[in-house]
Amino acid sequence: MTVLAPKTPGQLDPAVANQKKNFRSGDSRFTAFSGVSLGLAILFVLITLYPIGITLSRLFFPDGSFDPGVLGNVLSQPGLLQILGNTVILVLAGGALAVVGGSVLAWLSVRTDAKIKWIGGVLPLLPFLLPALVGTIGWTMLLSPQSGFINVFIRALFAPLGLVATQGPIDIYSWGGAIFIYGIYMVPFTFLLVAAGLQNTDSQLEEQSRVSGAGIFRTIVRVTLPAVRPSLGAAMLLTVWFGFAFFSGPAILAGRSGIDVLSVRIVELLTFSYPADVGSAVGLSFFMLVAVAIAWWLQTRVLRKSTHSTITGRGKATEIELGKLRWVGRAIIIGYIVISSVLPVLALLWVALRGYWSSDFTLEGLSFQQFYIVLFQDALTRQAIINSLQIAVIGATIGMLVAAVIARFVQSSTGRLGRVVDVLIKIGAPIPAVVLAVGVLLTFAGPPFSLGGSVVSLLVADLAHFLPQATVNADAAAAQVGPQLLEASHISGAGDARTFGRISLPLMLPDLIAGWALLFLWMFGEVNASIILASTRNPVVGMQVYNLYEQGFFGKLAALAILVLLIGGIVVTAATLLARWIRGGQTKVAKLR
Amino acid sequence: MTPLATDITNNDNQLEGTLMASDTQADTTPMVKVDDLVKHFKRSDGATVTAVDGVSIEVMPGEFTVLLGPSGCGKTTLLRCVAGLERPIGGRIQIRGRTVFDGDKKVNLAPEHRGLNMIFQSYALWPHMTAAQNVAYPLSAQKVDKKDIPARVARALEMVGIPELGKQYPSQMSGGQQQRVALARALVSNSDLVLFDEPLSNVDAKVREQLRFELLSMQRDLGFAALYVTHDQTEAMELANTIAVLERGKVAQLGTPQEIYREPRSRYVGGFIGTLNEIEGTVQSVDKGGAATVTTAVGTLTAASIAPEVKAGDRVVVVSRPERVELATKEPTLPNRWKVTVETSVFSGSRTEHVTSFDGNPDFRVWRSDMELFHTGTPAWVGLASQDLRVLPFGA
Ligand SMILES: Nc1ncnc2c1ncn2[C@@H]1O[C@H](COP(=O)(O)OP(=O)(O)OP(=O)(O)O)[C@@H](O)[C@H]1O
Ligand SMILES: [Mg+2]
Repeated sequence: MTVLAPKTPGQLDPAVANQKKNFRSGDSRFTAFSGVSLGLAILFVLITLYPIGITLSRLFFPDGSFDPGVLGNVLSQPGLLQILGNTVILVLAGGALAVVGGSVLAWLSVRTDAKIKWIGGVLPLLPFLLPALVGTIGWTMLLSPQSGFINVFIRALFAPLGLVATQGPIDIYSWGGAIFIYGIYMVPFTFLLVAAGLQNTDSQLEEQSRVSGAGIFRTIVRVTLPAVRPSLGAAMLLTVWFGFAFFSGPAILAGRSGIDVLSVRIVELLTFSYPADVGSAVGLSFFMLVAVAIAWWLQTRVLRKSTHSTITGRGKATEIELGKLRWVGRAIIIGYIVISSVLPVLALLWVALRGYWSSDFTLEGLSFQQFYIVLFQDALTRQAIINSLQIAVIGATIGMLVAAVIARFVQSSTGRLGRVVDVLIKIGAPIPAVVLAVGVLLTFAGPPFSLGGSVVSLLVADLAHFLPQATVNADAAAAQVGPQLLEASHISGAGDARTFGRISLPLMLPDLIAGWALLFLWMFGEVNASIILASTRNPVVGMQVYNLYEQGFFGKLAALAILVLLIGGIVVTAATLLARWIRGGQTKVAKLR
Repeated sequence: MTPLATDITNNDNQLEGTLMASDTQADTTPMVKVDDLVKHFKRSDGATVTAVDGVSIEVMPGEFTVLLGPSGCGKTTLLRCVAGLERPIGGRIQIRGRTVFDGDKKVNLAPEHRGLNMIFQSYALWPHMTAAQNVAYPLSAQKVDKKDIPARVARALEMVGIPELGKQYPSQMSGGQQQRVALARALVSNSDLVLFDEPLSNVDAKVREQLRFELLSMQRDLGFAALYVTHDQTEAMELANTIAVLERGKVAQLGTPQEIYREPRSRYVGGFIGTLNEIEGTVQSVDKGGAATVTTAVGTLTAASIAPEVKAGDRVVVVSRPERVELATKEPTLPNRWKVTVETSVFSGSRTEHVTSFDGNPDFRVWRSDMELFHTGTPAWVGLASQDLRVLPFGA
């Protein structure tokens, strides 16, 4: 007596043939839903890997046959050694600064009573909330030798002493300035890794050392540092990965400092030289890809090994009391936030309200006029905001949905197929946006796609670039939904599609919304690929900010930059509140999974 | 019949075929027929675990079958194979006479097409749905007419005794209430086959007893066949028509609770289903009536019940249940009797438990319903009727 009677009437006859559609064959259950998931996965793997393949084939097979000559041409390019040298110096020096700074910040925020709770949560998000492009421009406004606000301030301070100068004393367009910019924008990455390492290390190890009579300093050197060595190693490698691909910071400085780096040269070859020197750009992209891929790969290996060895993980971490030094610790943490974010944003805000870059500090003439111009009068900035919003909303939505479907598929397929899909979809993660953009340009600009300079080509590049990260977030979301909840749905008679729509998706939703907000931020403020792919007919904000800087329209630039920050901040806040509200309706998740 | 069950006859036209089928074949077609089923797992270190190793069992319509065994013996895996949640590597599974899995023919029907229901150990209630939405889910998944759903959900919730909790979310309920929602969800679609994976292991002892009782009466009322996994032998004996005792992926014994308790096939089964006293010995003779005489350290014992494979000359154990043993300071008249020393005597409420020792067993247990206690070291006699001794092969 079942209401679930199978659809074939002759149910006592196990005639396999006419029941076939209900049967699953092979090791993984292959259903229409798996088919769709797999199709999506393949499509998005291709979107990432195909352009890279095209790029490499251009390099080694420029005319369809193998020709090592192109690589030779690239190697003999004037100044190549210097560019590589510059890049390596900046990456190493900036990386060293970031590893030290990030570790100090991480130790203070995880292990001591100097921690400031909310900052520990915000810090890793900083690079997304405040794009390095905006931050670097803010710092040029602070430290330009003639009219940088800090320089003006210092000169005014010393003028009564008879020290009159029109320049300096600090120059952001210098080696020191460049290393400083590399360093501060790498810190969030090193912070995240070292903080995770510290959180996973049992603080009892340190307490044991203290009890045995060692002081704080000795304990750090003898116990803490060795315990987080894998995290430190991974952090160093991550700075190499980030540093080689870093574009917006050095691009802003290169014009006046003359310190050319790999990423900047690639973009110059494609956009500022006429005709575009695609061959050389492709060659340099290859260098970048190799350096970055090696660093990334080593980094994941170091991290994977470390999860096996360290980590006893029980017990609540106890905080070290710093006593009077506590305020020093706090000052360091707040100092980083001020330097990386508050000061540059204040500088931009000032310029936006003033309307131009001026260092006479009066409240007279402050207005919102530049914001009005950017939003309503200047067709280009207005179009850039609209385009970027479109790309970010559409891209983040597609990206997160696809990531969710693929994550579900990978999680539910026990066979080899799932693992292969997982590896392939994440393989694009370390590929720098600049390299990817070169590939997208080569692949989609010409016929048959003819998408050159279009918003669609940017959308493709953004999706290809950010989908790996989106799937990482979606994996975490999918892992929240225990397998039995899905099995119970199947047992109740629901197929894959209904199970995904009614069970998986709603339960993953809060995490997916959070992931969506991050994707939105990345895509909205994206600079690297935009500069290569967007055209003046189809501007986007990242490119427009950069162009306005190059053209010297600082008032408009500052207003646009502030608007970008505002929109990003509003979207993230709204998404966080929404996710929290939904989660609030589902407080039970924690209890039942 | 309960309201829920009457509902079936006027609700679904697909039903007719099923009913007709069960009219003609009702008592001969098993609800579930598992044949020589094998399932391996690859552990992460590469080793292969045979979780189910050639199991064959049948569940008849309306019957309550319990899979019983210690942790890790493959109960859950077997159940999940029947449900279609695991893919076995060999063997056959039929449900209502229809092949849903066949290792040779590469047939494996998806769980949603097997027409059964299951209650998970963790309940697997969907946290983002209210109790009523949870219960309604199987109905909408099976495309039941939307108008009928609320009434059926209400009836199901009422049947499991929580009519007022429909609007609550799972997190707002006690463990026992969650358990009832899971039960309602499994029963709402009137499936004639429900699988249970240790459904009562997460609630406390009092609630467990209550739920066990209710579950049994619902099963008798609605008449569904149940396949029920547990490692609790009391639970198994109270619920089951048939118990399958599993041992490392194999069926060690299949039978009614009485059979398994009184006539275990092996020391493993007998020891798992209750406390067993063992005395080693050698079989002298086996007579035609199935009784045996066994030489042991306490003399020659006569046992009326022997395992089928036991022959004269075999090394064996003679086993007995503690509550069948007489204990007295005077020599009893029973055919099997010997001298012992009382080690401890403890009154535990419903019975008095004595541990006695003698040459050949330092730990021979006797449970008596009287309240008489003995001092440690008291010499005494134990006695057993031949019917209360069973001879089992020494090996397993
Ligand atoms: N997914 C899996 N991967 C690897 N091995 C598994 C898996 N599931 C079960 N096993 C192994 O199969 C054997 C049987 O497991 P199963 O869960 O069926 O036991 P069980 O009888 O239900 O035990 P319990 O009473 O503890 O629930 C165990 O040895 C277990 O380690
Ligand atoms: Mg189990």
